[in-house]
Amino acid sequence: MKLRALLIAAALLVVFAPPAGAQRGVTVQLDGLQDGASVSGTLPLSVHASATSGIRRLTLTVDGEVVIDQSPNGIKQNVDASFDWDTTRYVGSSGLARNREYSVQVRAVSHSGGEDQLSALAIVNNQPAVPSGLSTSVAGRDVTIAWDANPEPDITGYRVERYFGSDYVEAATVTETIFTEAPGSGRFSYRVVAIRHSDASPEGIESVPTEQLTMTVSAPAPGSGAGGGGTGKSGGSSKRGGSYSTNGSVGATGLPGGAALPGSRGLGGIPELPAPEWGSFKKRLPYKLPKGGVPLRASAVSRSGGPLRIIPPDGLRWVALGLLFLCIAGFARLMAIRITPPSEPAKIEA
Amino acid sequence: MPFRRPSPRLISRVLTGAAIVLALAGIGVVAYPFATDLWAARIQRGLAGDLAAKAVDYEAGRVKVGEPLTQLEIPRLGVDVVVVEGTTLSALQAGAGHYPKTPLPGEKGNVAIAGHRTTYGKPFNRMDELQEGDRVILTTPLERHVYEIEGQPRVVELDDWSVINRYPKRGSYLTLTSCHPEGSADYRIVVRANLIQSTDVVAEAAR
Repeated sequence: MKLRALLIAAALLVVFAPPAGAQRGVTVQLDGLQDGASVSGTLPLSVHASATSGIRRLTLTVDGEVVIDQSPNGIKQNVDASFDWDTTRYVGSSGLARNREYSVQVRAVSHSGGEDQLSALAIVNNQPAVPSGLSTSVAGRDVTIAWDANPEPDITGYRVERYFGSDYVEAATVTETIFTEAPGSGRFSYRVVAIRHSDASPEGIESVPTEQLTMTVSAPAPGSGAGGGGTGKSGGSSKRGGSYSTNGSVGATGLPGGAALPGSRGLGGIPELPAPEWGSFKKRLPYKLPKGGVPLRASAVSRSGGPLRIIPPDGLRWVALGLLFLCIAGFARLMAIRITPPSEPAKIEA
Repeated sequence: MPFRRPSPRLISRVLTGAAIVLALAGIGVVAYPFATDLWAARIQRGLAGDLAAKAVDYEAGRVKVGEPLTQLEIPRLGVDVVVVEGTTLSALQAGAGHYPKTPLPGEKGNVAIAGHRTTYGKPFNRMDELQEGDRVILTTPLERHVYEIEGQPRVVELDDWSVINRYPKRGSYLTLTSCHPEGSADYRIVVRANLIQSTDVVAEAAR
């Protein structure tokens, strides 16, 4: 009977026994970070430790580096400490940190020898800085965009975006800090986005785009040489409507419908492409449209200003062609009847 | 060998034969657009029934080329067509097809759909009339996505694939493409729309 009572008491002790640390009266608490959370910027961390016998030592480490280490004088049952973690930099170093998982650990030891500790994982997910030093140059039909390398150690690439419609589309994603393409003729706006490696988002985290740089590439007129060249730099002298513009692209001559753009300067202004006339039966234009195309409304209007619809509606064209075939067929049949010699009438026997 | 002039009867027979051939060709040409429209309508009838049953395949990403992917509606133009997966000639006999390398409706990136502007039901015939703010609704077996046209239609070169590339990744876009000018494949007309709303069709039906 006594043995049974002892067994039950032992079992109850095992089940309801407090954890090792708490058993000796030590508890730690970490505020400001949830385990596995994606964090960025400066993260205010606060730690709290309590022990009935008093806290002997309280430490907070980030990725193995001790950032808080307190050993209170005398018996202090409650100890609080805080640390503002600048996640953009390595702890204890001025160098920019990588975006990855970091382990944050709190540990407290009491005067009675008890200890408690708590760990949390922080996924640092800082946005890269906006690329700087953006400059452009136009040589013939080639547009070159260059910028300074970002200082972050884990930049995976840069996306060069070209304006399309009412938004930007990717022209290319490159790992270098220079990009060249021949987009065709016309006015183009570019901007650059830096992409940083990130554990939190596999596609990477992107910077705010740079300000756009606008330039004009002139198409050489048939028979003439390539267009001239020019350069521009973000923050240059010609700012219109909140965007920086390069004014060095010139050189095309003899383009029909060419008109100088407002604000253009240098060698006689920037020629615009002539408006395509979709209604003409010679549908292909004598030049290639720029990448991203041209707005339909701006180009597909008749000289009177109304919408252009010279091409007959669907079906009517097919009907007309079919009727032409039928007419030719009828004509051929008529000719056949005319050519056929009249057959002799059958003799009627009396 | 002296040239023998063909007999009038032979010339007459040849002309009659040519007339019959031309007449048949003429009838064929006249009937072609109507025949393709009828053919597309027949395909569409089958697809409309299959679309709802494709929920499992759609969720698993197993929709094959030629199979129904989503219903496309443009209320202002009265367009209501089932879009199939793929943009091959045979797939596009249904009227409109989804570029296979682009995201599925509602996903991040740029969903691209090509459609006939003439023949085969010509679902994108009036694409040039689309205006900023017009709604395009894609209803998949699982969700209903409402896109809003941004900007105006643009005319691009046939080899300008930048218009259907996946970027910008930050948003969810829809790009509709067709031939331009109407009845010609010299250029491509494109229009871009922005995802503004997504609703769960299955959950709505369960309520």
